[in-house]
Amino acid sequence: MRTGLWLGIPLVIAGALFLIWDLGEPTRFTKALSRPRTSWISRGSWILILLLAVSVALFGLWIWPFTMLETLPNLIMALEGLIVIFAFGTMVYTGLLLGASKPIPFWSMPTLPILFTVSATAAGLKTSSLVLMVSSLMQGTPIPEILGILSRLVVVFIAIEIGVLVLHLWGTRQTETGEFSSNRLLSGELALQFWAGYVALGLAIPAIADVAVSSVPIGFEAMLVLIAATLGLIGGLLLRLIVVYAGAKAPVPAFGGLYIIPENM
Amino acid sequence: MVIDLKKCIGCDSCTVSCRAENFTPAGVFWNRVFKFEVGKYPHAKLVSLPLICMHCKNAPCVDACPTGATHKRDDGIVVVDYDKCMGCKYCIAVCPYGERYFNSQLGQYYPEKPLTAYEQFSKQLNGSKHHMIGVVEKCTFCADRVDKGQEPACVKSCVSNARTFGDLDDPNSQISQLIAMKHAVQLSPELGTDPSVYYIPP
Repeated sequence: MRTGLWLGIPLVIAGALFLIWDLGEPTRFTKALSRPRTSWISRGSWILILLLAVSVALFGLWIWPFTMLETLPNLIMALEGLIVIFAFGTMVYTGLLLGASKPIPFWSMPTLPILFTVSATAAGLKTSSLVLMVSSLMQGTPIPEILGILSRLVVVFIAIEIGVLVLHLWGTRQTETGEFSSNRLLSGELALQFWAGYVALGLAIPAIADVAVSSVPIGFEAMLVLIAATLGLIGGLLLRLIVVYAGAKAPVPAFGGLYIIPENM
Repeated sequence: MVIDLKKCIGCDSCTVSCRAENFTPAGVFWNRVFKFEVGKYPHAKLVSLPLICMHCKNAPCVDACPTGATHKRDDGIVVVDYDKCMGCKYCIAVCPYGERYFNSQLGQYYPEKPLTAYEQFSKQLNGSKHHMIGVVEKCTFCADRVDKGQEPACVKSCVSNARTFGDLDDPNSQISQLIAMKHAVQLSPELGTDPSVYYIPP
């Protein structure tokens, strides 16, 4: 748990900083908290802040003078439960945020939040395996058996991710604009990133590595877990990048013509 | 607003008057005229379709905006408060009509030369005419002119009187009667945005 928080808290902060950096007016990022009732960006901002707050609170229990609170198991269980809830929210909200863009068929398919959630879960499992491996190596303890279970779970989630991806691509091809977007991935300007980056490096190699984990000597086990986790995380990042770049707005039909909205508008 | 496409001749006076009134930077067009051909020879014709912010009654940009910068006035005009906008561009993603612009830079009309008198003057202006880098902007229905009881610049300048501006909530207003009599329609009504801009078919 502690290693996970050591890794997770800085990563969430880094992710949030990237989001803030991408704004046109980064100094105004606190205003993003204003409209959680209607805006997915507001909701996501609150989810990230609460995730960080609860994570830091739990981490703080290991720091004097708060260590005395460690004797309250209900408090720890409550904080861990909240972390799970807000972490799940973090996984889900990005797909819902994009999905709220109804003019962009490639984003507004109901399969997109599912795809992002499954992908994030797989990435989280791979990272957890890496954390477990690193912890046991640093402490000189035997590799925990749960690592084998995690590796098998990763393979299951990768299989689910592939299934949802196929469903998503098939679904988006039901409209002309959605087909245009999916063709960008399959055979267009994003094909290299999709096939070589996401499918091969992000899905296939980690899946093979995780299948092989339980059948190789211990030294190689660590190497495979590292490869699966690193490539899996890169694959997850690539998935989100290519989904964003592939999205295109449906044209506006007008009196026998079709107004095609420029890409940047 | 109602735009009569039988009367619109595609002269772009509205585009130019909008720029003159609102001092939009180079490359930013709050009003554009999309021209396209319909039909086949010998019955083909050119249609000119002026496009502006639709000031939707169910504006997706208002709901999507996380800061409240994009908001709807009491009279239904959708405006952007540049001082609140943080430039996340989410409103651009959710707008089905593509009528919002993000200023990554403020384009100059003559980049190799000093600012024109027009551009220099625009830097002294306030409100929606004070264009800023890092925020999103769009057509305001010339809200400050409307507040003074005037028509938007595009309506005033239309050489063929193709545009009518008025109160859609008043069933007896000229615009409401025009919509009913001429069977004016909205663009993409199936999206549920309920635009405040209607078009009389060509």
